[in-house]
Amino acid sequence: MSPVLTIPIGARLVEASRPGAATPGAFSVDVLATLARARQRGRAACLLASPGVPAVTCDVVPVVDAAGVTAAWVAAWLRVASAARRAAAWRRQTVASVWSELHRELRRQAGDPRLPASVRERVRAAARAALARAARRDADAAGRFPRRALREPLQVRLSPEVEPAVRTVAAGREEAIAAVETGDPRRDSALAVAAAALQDAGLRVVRLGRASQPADAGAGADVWLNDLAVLRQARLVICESAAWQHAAYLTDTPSLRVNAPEPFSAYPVRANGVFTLRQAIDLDSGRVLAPADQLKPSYLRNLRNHGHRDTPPEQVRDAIREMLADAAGEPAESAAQRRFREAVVAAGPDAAAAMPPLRAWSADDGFIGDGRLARCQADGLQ
Amino acid sequence: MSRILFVMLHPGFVRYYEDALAGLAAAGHDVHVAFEISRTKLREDLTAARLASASPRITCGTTPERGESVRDFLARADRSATRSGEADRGGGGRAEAFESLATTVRLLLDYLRFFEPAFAGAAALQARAAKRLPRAYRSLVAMAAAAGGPGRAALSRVLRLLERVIPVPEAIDEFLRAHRPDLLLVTPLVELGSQQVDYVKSSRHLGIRSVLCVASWDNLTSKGLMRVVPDHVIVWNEAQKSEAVALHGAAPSQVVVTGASLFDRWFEATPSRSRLEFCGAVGLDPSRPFVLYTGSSIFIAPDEVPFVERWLSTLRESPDPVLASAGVLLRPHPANARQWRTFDRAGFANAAIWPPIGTDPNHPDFRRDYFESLFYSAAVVGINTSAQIEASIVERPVLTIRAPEFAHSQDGTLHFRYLVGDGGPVRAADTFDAHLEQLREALSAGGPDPHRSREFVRAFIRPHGLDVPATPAFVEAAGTLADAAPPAPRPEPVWVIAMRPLASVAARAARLLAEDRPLWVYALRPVLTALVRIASVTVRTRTTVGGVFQTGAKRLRRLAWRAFYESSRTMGRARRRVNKPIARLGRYVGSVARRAIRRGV
Repeated sequence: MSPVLTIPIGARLVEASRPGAATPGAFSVDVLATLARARQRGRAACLLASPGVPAVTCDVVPVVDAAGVTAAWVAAWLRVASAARRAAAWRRQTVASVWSELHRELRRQAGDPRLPASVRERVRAAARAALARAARRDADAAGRFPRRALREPLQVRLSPEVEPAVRTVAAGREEAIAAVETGDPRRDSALAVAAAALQDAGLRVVRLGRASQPADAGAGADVWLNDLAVLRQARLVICESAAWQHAAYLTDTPSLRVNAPEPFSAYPVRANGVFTLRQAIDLDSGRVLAPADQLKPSYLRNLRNHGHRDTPPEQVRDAIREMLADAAGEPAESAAQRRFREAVVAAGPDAAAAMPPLRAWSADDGFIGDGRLARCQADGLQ
Repeated sequence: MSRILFVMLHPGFVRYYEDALAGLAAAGHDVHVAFEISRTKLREDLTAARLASASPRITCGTTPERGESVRDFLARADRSATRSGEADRGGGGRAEAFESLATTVRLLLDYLRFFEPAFAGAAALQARAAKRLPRAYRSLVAMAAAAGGPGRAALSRVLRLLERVIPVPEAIDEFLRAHRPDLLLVTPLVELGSQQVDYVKSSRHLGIRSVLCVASWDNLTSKGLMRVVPDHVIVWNEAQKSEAVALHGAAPSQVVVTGASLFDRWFEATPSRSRLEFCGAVGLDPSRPFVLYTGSSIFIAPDEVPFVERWLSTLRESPDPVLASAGVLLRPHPANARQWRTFDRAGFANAAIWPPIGTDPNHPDFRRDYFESLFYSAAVVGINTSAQIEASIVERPVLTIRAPEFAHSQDGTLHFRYLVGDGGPVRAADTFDAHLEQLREALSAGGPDPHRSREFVRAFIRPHGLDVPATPAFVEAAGTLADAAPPAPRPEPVWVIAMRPLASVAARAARLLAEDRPLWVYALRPVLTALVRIASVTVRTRTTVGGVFQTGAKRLRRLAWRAFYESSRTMGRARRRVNKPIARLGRYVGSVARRAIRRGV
């Protein structure tokens, strides 16, 4: 996530960032986090445009136009902040590594049977303390996914200058469409099932992603505009990667993520988000693990001993039916879905300890998201 | 007849030489097979036991235990592991230090070879070798590689010099002396960091003829170097002979071509049941032809199941009814079978996995099932596996698809070229569409030209003629070498012995660096050790002094008590001693008084 800075522009302070251009998901999260912080602090936002990504405005937060001298000023601030951030990250990483190595050295000493028991105990305690410091530094280094900042939909619009281009891209798509991620051509069976189910439901399927641009996109049309235009018009988006679910937050499009690897990073922030977990298989016994088992540290610590299967086609179809029913009315969370959400929140700290990369994805001050696990998977739980 | 000592890395290598060993025993040679490490992953221990029971002339055992095996070396370099209690073993003895140096030098040589122009496209092989090497050395190799051919050659010379200076463990010399073999066979020798080099070195010093038996078709190109070339190398074919000469530095006269004895049984095998019975047993529709998919090892195909699901889906979606309805028999690689538990067979009609996952590969039915799977199949598909060679022997059409996820193990390996290059038996397709077209041709009545398969088998498996089995050729070659006069012992030159104290210092450093820790840790370690020792001495002193004081006070207290006790007893006795005459006097006075009173009264 790009840093959000409070920068003086003229006589006022604004919240500024340079939204990431790597994926539409990163762009969306950065834009929304900046706008949410500006709204919370009652300030304007300034979104520094990167080449190839569209400029945006917002109905509820004033957006300062970053051009000319202002853009250079904001860019300089962000560059300095980015350098400082990198330096701090390097320092944290180095310090964590030093503590971690010290832990190993102390453990090495603590196991020497020739030492008196009291000395060994003290060395062992010192080793534990060193490890705790290393872990703390690691935790500091991991940024947290801003779940709360993304919770409320913001009326984000593409800036008037690019709206005509969007209209051009979106032309001829007045009927209901569903956006489906192109995905990895090597394993797209769940997405293929989803696309077929959507077509059966009478929706026109439009593929998302740079690999498969709409045929009517002009030669000079920007791929970001195509994707955002499709997302804005779509009744729902079906994806396999986190990036597209995050992108859907920008346009507040209902999203279904299939084949999520684990529930922490995949838990949808918005109430109109649903996800399905891929099936985990114990490679020793062949046993299929229930979604609740995938919350346990014993599973997360031992991922190498587990293989995965795509979400079964019937579950993908059930999840799409659930999404379409919700789109017609108010999204309703069943008791089983609520229980699973609570279990994800409760399991977060243990999961982060078992698998440190998950630390960034666990609950944000007790909030994991308003979305839910697909009913067909949640109902199978105790 | 002769005594032959066959040193194998583990019992898993028995399967490559089972028939050859039986042949040597039948020819009257006494064969002792010694395993460096035990392995039970695929129940290889049973194979060894079966081998030992096959002939009284064959015995099995273990090699002397190493101070530090390659496995131990790699475990010590595992940064993610935290080990307690290594402080006292950190330095190790001289022997352990030289073992560490030897493994380091061998791993460095192995890594360095993958920078040679011949391995230009073999990034995965290079990465695999790099992974085993402590990080401190990787930059050294990278620098030498960046300097081009002269840089690589210079580093290689230094490493080979070190290899010569490293002493052979005494236990190995004793082991060879105890067995007094006429011929030493080793396999595979070229595993990354292999310690079998020491057997070759020891045999040179002792005047024993040594032979490397190249076990498999990829051994000379996808693994490490021989490092010290044995007296002879027994290979399958001329292609391997070229590899031994060009890539390992063997002289052409040292190389003996015998063919692949491992595959002899495939030429003679016949099915034990009908196709109908076989299809019934595995769960395929007998009225349809079936394609056999042969799984590959974990290095070749770490994520094979998603690929197979995609392949199978494409096959089922084919407009050609023959392809769409053909049976598919999936045969996981025995050492890479676990991942197949994620395969969902329910999604595919007329498809089966056989044998079931977890089947013992040593079971007698296992080989029979394998042969029948090949024999009754209409075509064989695989990524890059020796099963494709076996399919060629059975003269089935063999196909492969160049998939991006397997680029590292297909065109990224040299041995794959034997399958798909000129004269190779495998038809490779770059796309699924092209593959389906090839498969359609293969399933059609004509199929591909079996002459191509036969030509490959003749050149690659039976270079002395299709009707000439390789096992007798191997037995004859080994027997001749065993019966030949032994080479003169080649003792170590003086300069090697003179260099050893210097090498000893390098060995200590290698032992430390094998832990793969940041360099500052080695500087910190003595300080930390000193601090812990000081704390230890302080605690011991305090305990001792405290103990002395405590004991002294206790003794004093006890002495005082004893003095008091003793004195009080003495006093009591004296008192009683004094009291006795007084009492007696009292009693006497009393009795006198009583008598006087009676008289007076």
